Order: sequence, then structure tokens, then C-alpha cells
Amino acid sequence: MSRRAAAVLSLAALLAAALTVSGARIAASQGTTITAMRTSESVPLREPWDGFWDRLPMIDIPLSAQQVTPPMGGRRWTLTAGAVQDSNRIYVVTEWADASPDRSVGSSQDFTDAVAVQFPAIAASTVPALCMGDPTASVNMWQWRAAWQADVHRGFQGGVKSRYPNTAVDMYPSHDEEVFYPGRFAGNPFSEVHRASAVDNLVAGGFGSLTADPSSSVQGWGAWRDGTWRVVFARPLSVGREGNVELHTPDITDVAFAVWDGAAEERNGMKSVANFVKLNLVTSELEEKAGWPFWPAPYFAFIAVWVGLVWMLAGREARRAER
Amino acid sequence: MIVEERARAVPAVAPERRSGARAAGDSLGAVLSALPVVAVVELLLMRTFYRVGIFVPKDGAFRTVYSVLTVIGSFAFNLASVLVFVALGFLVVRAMRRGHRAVGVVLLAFWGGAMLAALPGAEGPGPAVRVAFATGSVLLAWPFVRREGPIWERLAVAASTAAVLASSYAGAAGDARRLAATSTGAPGTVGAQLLGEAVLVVAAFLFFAAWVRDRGIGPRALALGAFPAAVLLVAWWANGAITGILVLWTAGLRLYLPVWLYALALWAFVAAAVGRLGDGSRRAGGMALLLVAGFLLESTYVQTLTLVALALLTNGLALGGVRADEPAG
Repeated sequence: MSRRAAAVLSLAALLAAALTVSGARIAASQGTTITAMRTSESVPLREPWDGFWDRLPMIDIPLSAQQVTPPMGGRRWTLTAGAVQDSNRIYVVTEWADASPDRSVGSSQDFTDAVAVQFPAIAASTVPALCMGDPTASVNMWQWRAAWQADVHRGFQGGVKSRYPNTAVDMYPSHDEEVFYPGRFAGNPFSEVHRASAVDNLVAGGFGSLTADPSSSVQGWGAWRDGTWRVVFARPLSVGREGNVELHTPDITDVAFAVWDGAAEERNGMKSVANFVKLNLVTSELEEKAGWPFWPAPYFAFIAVWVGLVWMLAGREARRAER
Repeated sequence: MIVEERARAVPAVAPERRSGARAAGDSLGAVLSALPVVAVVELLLMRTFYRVGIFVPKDGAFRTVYSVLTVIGSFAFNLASVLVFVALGFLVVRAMRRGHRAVGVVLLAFWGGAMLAALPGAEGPGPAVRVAFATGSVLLAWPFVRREGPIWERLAVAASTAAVLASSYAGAAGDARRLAATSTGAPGTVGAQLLGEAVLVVAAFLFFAAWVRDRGIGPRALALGAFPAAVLLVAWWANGAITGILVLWTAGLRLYLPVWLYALALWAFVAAAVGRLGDGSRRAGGMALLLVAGFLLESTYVQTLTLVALALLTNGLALGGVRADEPAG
């Protein structure tokens, strides 16, 4: 090996070592990043199909069936997501195809449609395990359930009367006595009858450690239309509670998603999951209007002209070389 | 026959006039020899093992092993990044020196854009880099594809380039959407990606056919090529969902065709690459780089790998020649 070649390789190794130690990269990626622009408008949280949400830059995120721990499953394959923030609150919008809305958990054979957003509890350089995090790197999840929203919207839907509206009961002698409603009086979030939010705020640090955070700082609302659910999450950027992700502008953190299809009896670990993607909170303002819808056409025309010019030049050089 | 073939494949190269040019050739040879090895290590540790770890709670002894291998993988990634950018830099200089300025300028534009995109605060490569990448890919491949020579090799390079363009189309559509801050993208992006993936599978068989036609079937290469294919099949059988998403992240393939077809294509491609190792050309290295680059050409690293791979697979015809006997250092 010549001395110059050896020097080039040595320098490359030194530079690579420096990059590894510093955590810097010389390769840039335009990978999957959700960009949360800033808006000063009033955000229509409870109107997921409002035109406002169509202005957000949305990205498609591939899902796969959860196959790490029982119960496994999940049959949704794509989710679309976007985000926006107003300096105080972050809004995450998700959208996925679902042939039928399932909004009830009123009987043992009913399962609800749901979607969850997951963040590393601390926006750290170490990405936690996708499923429920690690003991040393916990995760914060916001889970919206169609059934919880039905409770918020129309009052508790889990009672016998809701499931069987024509049933007749003379009297319940022990109505509201703790001994007959152990879940409710033990504070089991599944037994909650006075919901303030359709979204559960959860923290976890590994399998079997999922815990509900009673804070109702996370809000959310979903609407089903023409075979598609669109759900919007909202939370203050900072809540100052242990286990809850703290967000700032500008900042980049990781975010993952999961979807449950109630019609397929999906619940708990039976879900479709997405890998972590980046959430980039930026200071630039969300545009007021969507761009020109035919924009791709002149863009590709410009590229074609550029390629044509280069092609012509390269061809001329080749002919000259042949001569 | 092989000698004749090489003579056809490598253009007449003007004698190097300066010792500096020869030294640059030495350095390029050394970089091109090291790059495929480092890139494959990066693929295995950084992009595969690291991502497998995402599915596994990292605790106890596994945490230590995971950390060590991840650091090694990270170093391999950084080294491969540096080497591939250095290699492209050398190729740009060669193209300019030998009068192929159009190709040189396009590759230089890509190289410069990629470097700028890596600066702190930059928001990714941007559309200009992608356009330079796609144009550079075509310019590198075209002289080889249109020349007289073995049809299978030309078809294999043409198919690989077509797959690159199909993959880039989806990215360009995304660029157009970002530039206009609109939710309206160009049509047919998913279709282009699916088509590109199918073309890539076909390209693997074309590389195999080119190898068999040129060198004949080698049992050792076939046996070695069977290993990664068997790993893919076993992993798919053991856990298709995780294997599917890992392949998507690592190679950008959706695996929408029957998985045995991908395994067969991987077998054919790796066998051809291994079989090319002894033929004195740099095609084996080019094929390794093409494999590492994958189909999801979203980072400047894999884009640069693709450009260098195409340069090696075409003997650098568009750049004034990358000699088969380029000093390996």
C-alpha cells in the first residue's frame, strides 16, 4: 500500500472515530419526520375533519402487527400522522383506514377502535424499546379510545342499560355501594364513569409496567368518516410531571404509534405498531392556505429541463471524446 | 474471452501524466477496496442488529453486548460514510481530469449538496441533492448500458438504475409537496415504489445471469449465497412481521411479492457478487455497495453508495474509466 493510500485510510478512520465519539454524522437523511409548525390560529380540536387539519404536512407511516409479546396481532398497515403547535400546546393528528367504527366496550365481546402515540419519557439520545420502553428508558403514551369518547360525549356507555336498552330492572338494592363496584371504587381507570378525556395518559418502563397517570392534561377527539378515522391529540408542551414527555420549541424527539381495530377484536398487545419516527417542533409558521394543487407538474417539468440540458452536454462531450 | 471482455469494458485511458494522479489512483483503489467491507459491517451491526434491539428490552448482559456492538456499528457507519464520500470525491476529480465535465459537475453538485446538508442546522439534503443524485445515476449508467457488450450486464445495470429512479420519484414527489407546503403530492408514488421493487428483484437475477454467462456457475459462490437467503427465509418463518419491518427499515423493501422470490433473488445476487470476487474487476464491490444501499434511497449516505456502486458496475465508463486493475493500495 502506498504511503498516500495509507494516510487517506488512516485519516478516514480518525475522522470516523471523531464522529462516533461526538455523535455527529456526515450523512444527512430526509427520513420520516413529522414537522410540527407553529400556528397562532384557534385550533379546532373537536373537529378532526375541519379544513385546518388538511393544511398540515402529513406523512405515511408503515405499521406492522405487534409480534413481540402475547397477545400478538394487528392488521392495519398504514397510518398517516401530522402535528402542529401553538407555543403552548402540541397537537398530533392521526388518520387510518377502518371499515367500521367500533365505539363500545359495553359487553365482553365488544372491543373499541383506538390509537396511541408514544414518546420517550425523556427526549434522550437513547431510543427506548418500541414496546413499552426499557427499565432505564421509560415511555409516555397517549391512548385515545372510541369507547372513552362515547362516554365523554354521551355519558357512561358501559352500563347494562346502554348495552341492552330494552332491559327492565325494578330496583338495584345496593346501587353505588363500594362492595358491588370494586373496580370503580378501587380507581380502576377502566371502570371510570365520569370521564373528562377520551385519552388515557400512560407511562411504562418495560412489559407489565404500564401505569395510568391520572392527570387529564391530554385531550383528544376523533371522528370516523367514509371508512377513515381521524383523531387529534392535544397536550400542553410542558406539564412538569414525572414520566410525561417535556416538549420544547425548537426540539426534536422520537414518536411512535399504535392502532387497534375493535372489529378484529384487537385489544392490549393485539395491535398494529409503527417504529419510532422523528417529531420536529419548529418555529416556522403554518401556511394559511394549502399550496397550489398542481405544483408537482412544473416541479417535474423543471427537473426534466435540467436533465435534458445535462444530457445534451454529456452527449456532446462523449461525441468529442469519440472523435 | 474474459480478457477480451475487459478490453471492451474499460475505455482507453490516457496515460497519467503526473505522479499525483497515480497516487490518487492508489488512494482510490485503497478506498474502493475497504469501502464494501466496512459498509457490509455497518449494514449488519448498525442497521440490522441495532434495529432488532429496538424490539427487545435492553437489560442485563444483553444491554452491555448491545451497547458494544452498537458502538462498533456506529463506527463502521461513520467510516463507511467518510470512505464513500472520499471515493466519490476521487471519482469527481477523475471525471474532471479526463474531460467528462458534465458528469463531474453533476456529481460535484451532489457531493457539495450532501456535505452542506450534513452541517448542523441543515434540514436534510433537500430537492437539489435528490435531482443531482438521480441525474448522476443516469449519467453514470447510460454509457455502459448503450455500449456494445454483454447484454445481461447492461440489462442488470439498466434495471438497477430504473429502480433507483423509481425510488427517487417518490422522494421527488415528497420534495414537491414540501416546497409548496401543500398536502397534494404527485400521483403514482406508491405504484412507482412497488414497480421499482419488482425491477430490483429482476435486476438481482440479471446480475446472476451476467455472472453465469461470464464466469460459469461456481459451487462455492452458490453455497455462500444460499446463507443470507436461508437466514431471510428462517427469519420470515419464525416471525414474519418483525422480519418484514426490519427488511423495510434496512433495505427499504416492502416484501409485497412472495417472500421466496426475494430469498431466491438474494441468493442469486449474493452468489453472483461472491462469484465476481476473483475476476479482477470491481463489480463484486459494486454489487456489495448496491446491496448495502438498498432501495429506500433517503439519506445522502446510501445515495452516495449507489453512485459509487454504479461507477464500479460500469467500470467508470462515464468518468473516463475506473480500471479493473486499479491499484488496491
